[in-house]
Amino acid sequence: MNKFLKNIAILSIIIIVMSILLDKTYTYIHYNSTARNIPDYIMNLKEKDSLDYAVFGSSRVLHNIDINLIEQETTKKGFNFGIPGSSVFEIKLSVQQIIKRKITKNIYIQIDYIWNEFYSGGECTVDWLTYINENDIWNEFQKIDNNNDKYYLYKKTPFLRYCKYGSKLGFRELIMSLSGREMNVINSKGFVPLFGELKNNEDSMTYILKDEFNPHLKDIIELCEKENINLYFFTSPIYNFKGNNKVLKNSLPNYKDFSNIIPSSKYYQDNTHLNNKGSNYFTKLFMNEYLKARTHNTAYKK
Amino acid sequence: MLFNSIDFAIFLPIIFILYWFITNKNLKSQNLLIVLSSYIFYGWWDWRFLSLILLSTVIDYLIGINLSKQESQTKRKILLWTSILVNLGFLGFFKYYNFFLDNFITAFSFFGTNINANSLNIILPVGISFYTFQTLSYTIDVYKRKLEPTKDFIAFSAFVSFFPQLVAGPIERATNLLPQFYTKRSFDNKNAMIGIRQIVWGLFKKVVIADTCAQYANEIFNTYEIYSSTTLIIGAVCFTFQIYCDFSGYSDIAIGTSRLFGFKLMKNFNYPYFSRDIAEFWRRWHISLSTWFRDYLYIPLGGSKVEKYKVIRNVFIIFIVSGFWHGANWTFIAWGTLNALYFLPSMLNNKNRRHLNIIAENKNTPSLKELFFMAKTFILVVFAWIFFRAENIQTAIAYIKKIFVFSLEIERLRIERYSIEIFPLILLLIIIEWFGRHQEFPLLKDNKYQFKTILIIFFILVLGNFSDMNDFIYFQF
Repeated sequence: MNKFLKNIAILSIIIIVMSILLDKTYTYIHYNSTARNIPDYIMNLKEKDSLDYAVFGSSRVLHNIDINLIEQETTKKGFNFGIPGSSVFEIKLSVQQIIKRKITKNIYIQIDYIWNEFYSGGECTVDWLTYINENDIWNEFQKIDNNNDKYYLYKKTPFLRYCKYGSKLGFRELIMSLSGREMNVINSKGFVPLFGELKNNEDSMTYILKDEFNPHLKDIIELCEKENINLYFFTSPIYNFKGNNKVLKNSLPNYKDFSNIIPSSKYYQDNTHLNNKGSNYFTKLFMNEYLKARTHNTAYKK
Repeated sequence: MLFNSIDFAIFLPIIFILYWFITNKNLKSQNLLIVLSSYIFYGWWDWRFLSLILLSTVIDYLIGINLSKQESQTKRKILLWTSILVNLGFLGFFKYYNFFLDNFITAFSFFGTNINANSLNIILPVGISFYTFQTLSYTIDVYKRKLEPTKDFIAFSAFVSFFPQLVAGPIERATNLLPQFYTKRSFDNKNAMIGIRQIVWGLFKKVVIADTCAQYANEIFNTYEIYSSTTLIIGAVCFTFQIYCDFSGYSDIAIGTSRLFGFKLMKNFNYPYFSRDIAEFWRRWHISLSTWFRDYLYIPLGGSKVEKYKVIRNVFIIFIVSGFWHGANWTFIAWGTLNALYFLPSMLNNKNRRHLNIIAENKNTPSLKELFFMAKTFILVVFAWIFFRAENIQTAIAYIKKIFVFSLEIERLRIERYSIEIFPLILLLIIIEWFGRHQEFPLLKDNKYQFKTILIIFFILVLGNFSDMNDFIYFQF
């Protein structure tokens, strides 16, 4: 038995050492190679990559705002940081890092029913786990991890996060990163068009917003005030929207509600996402509202 | 509890320590620990179904004792049939009730009679097909006087519920496993290390190969309409490796875990994809089930020692029942029938035992002839798996029809995070298995630094799929 236990102990030590080395290697590559997701891209940005503006949100930003179109019309440089499935928590992580890196002075955030999402930790939080050892990011993770020690385990157990989320952070993505295969969305500045059409134009969409102020949004607003950042909130178009966004209007600075601005179903992929025709239409509205009518403070632009 | 979960990684060392350090002085307490830990293992999934295992255990235990006391052949038959009906009754209700009901309704509506009957919302208890067959083997062997019935209820309960093989086999015979609960187990370092290596090898097959292949197979089978011929063939090949690595991986973990506790379970897979004909394939695939059907169904029906038409009948019965054992769906019946059709010519020509040796024995590479036979068998097996994997018969036929609209185009799959690494992985598996085919499993032998084992652990850490934690396919059967 002693011999067996000794063998198991040796194997365990080898596994632990292997895990530490793999963890260090993976993290190094994520920090230094081609970006394979939006958090990697953000963490690789430097002050010289400054932008006139940046848009944040979920797939309702990703598929709805064509940054290249805006650049053609206004020459203003921007980036669409929409991540499918993002809640306010992930938006906050992105915004914090963008501000920390002094990338832009003008931030636009898409907000709708995600107002109600106080706690996240969903699919798109995973992409941030690579950077969990950064103090400011770890502080944020602690805020959403009050009831369990999941993220503590990811921080403290070497390689656990890369093992658990192998398909998003692991070997395959690493090989892509090392071979220089950049995300397709980088060339289109984060925008991904959809090409379908709404199938059932009878469907409506509604939601009820909580009265309570979303704590992550509060943090974003405070940070932007402190850093003197122009912050704008908006709601992307929704087909046949039956709810109301009064709570957002009353709570958020510089809020603009576009929810009912495009009534025709031909512009939609589904109730909450525009197709390519719709994104073209909406991008122009967005541009006229914000980027043509206002003078941006471009203090960080070289 | 899944073998590839953190829960099991914590559970196993605890039970191991209790088993060898606390209860090691007393055989009964060791057996009791096995029963309790097995019930925890099973109850982790759904504690309500523990009652089924307990009931099955009590009934077969009592029937076994009564069979030994009873001299009247009629009464012995009644006892045997009571056990068969109770066990198959549970299985039939939980697994096949809705299938038969739906088919009766369809059949009657075909003749113009509408029957109003609703399907029940039944959850299939994990592993019911496995432990039912295991307890049945006990009663049948006691009835045939091949085995003395046990009077030790704890040992019998441990035999029925032994956690390493409870939910997905190997389906052990009472004649092999039950006596191991009567004798004191002593710890053997060499055997335990082999157990560890077998667990590592099983995990590699499950989390590296099977779960990666699953990404491709699921995508291609679920949306086969949008893919062309070559992609559909790739989907079928991926499923072929998925099901093998998933199921044989489970068996390896089960056998390896048993070794840690001093038990020897039967071999369940013997490199089936290196078979040279279908008969050889069935001697190498899911051995515990094939031999179960051979001993308790095929031979009692007369086996091959009857008239030709009866041999044909017997072959069809055994393959169709085997298919139906896998699930209440016509696809499994079609899969069984297809295998019967594959198998029958060699059976009728007395060529079914042509290949009893190891392929390319004492050689590194197979001859061209062997390669040809292997490839032919593999293609037949892949084709049959399409029925096994498809949602229903219509889908299977549509899938096959699309394959025969030949096209060399390979579409980009709609799998966001995966790419072509599946082919090197499958090749790696084939190479390791080919050079390990003379052994029970490729990692059976290792040097004193456990170099091969460490390398496989490295592969598991780097290439394993832990995010899309998949149940073992055979849990559903």
